[in-house]
Amino acid sequence: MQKNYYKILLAVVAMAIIAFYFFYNPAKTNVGFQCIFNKTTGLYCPGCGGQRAFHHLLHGNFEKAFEYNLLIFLVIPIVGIKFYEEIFEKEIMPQFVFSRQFLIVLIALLIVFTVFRNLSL
Amino acid sequence: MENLKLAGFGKRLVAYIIDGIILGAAMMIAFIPFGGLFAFMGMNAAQNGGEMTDEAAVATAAMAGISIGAIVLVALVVPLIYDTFMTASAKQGTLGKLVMNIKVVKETGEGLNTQEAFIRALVKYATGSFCIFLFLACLFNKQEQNLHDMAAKTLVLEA
Repeated sequence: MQKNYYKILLAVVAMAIIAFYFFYNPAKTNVGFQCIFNKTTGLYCPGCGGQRAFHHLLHGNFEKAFEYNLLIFLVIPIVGIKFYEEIFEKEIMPQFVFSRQFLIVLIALLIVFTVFRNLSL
Repeated sequence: MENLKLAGFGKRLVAYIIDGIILGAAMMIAFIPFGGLFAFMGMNAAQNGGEMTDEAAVATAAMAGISIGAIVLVALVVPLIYDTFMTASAKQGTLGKLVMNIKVVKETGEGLNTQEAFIRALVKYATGSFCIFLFLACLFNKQEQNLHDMAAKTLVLEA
């Protein structure tokens, strides 16, 4: 029972987050979570545009989502797998995710992405 | 150290959200008196036929400056103090972690002292306000350590 209540809570939280971003458009209303880094420096961090991208992804606009933040296509599957693993207690995360090479490629991608989005915008 | 179980990303995320709600509610309550002060000042101006004297205008502006400064200071400092002292206490975790039944320990298995908890809270706050994506670092190593866990050499386990 103790174990199940947290799984239910986890599923509810996941669904609540998805429902929230389906109905809430961060580009139009100004209610949601603001980025302190962006507000103070004017630069874009790797996560900027993530909320807008997720909103458009839920509505099926893949191009818009790609425009706002292309990292969303990497983050959503990994977080999804992690949630699945915890709720159903199966390990399905591919092992290469934990390797050092993957981490180095990921960090390099993150840095390149952050630099380029600040140059072009 | 054998039968210790890592807390997992989902539990930590829910604990983080609960902490955010608690802190947000506490800060909203703490800021209510400021609203009351401004209401009194507005009433004062309204009694003079809607026009403020110069002194009243200066006082209102000074009050606004001081209270905005205080709000910024409180918003910066309170999460740090809350996280530091809750993590260093005997409960070994913030209120959100207590609800989710998880705790923070050092890699050796002991509880944290105030200094280590402060480092952890500071790095957590910095990563949180730089980029929220950095909290996903715990998905890429087997010990599920986030950047603040690496800085303070801690693990998050099931209590």
